[in-house]
Amino acid sequence: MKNYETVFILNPVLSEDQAKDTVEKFVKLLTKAKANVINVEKWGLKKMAYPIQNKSTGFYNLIEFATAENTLINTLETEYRRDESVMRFMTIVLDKHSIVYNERRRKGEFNRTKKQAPRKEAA
Amino acid sequence: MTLVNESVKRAEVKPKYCRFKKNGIKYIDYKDADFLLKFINEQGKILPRRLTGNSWKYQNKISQAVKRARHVAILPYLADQMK
Repeated sequence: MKNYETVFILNPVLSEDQAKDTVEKFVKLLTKAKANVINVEKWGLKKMAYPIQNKSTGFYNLIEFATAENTLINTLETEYRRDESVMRFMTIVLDKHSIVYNERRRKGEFNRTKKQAPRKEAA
Repeated sequence: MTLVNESVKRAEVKPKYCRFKKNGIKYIDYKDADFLLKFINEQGKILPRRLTGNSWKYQNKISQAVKRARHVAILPYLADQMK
């Protein structure tokens, strides 16, 4: 039962609800394959650090899921490649430290949702 | 005029420490841009260990996180006068 985290960027040309159903499509694909989807995050339209397909903004989404079947990652990625509205995607496997980190992040333990260091480190 | 290296004032040279071991940070999140900004210079390059003072293990995690962030366009590959 391995945990995975996938981030993908959708084309900004899509309207809000089109972006929503593509995310639904991927979540459905995961739940159909009996993966247990832990967390779906939509960061909405965000400015990218460099233009991709000469677009400088994109819909960022994150799906965190756990599955025992390792071939699911290939099917998910071919689905990403097939869907041309997905500009970029990345799936990573989570080790025990990142799982603990994600739970704490979801609980909002860090003052800003994205802040990483749990305690105020002497920066 | 012979070139003489001035002596390094011991007091000024404060010992570097690995902030990850000290604060017990175990996982470096590639999605957290402003934390990663501390480890890259203005052109977006990863700072070397001798400047950041990180231990080898955490410097590897930092560079992996920065490369992932670059792939997902959270950090630029190269930038001018960033930060």
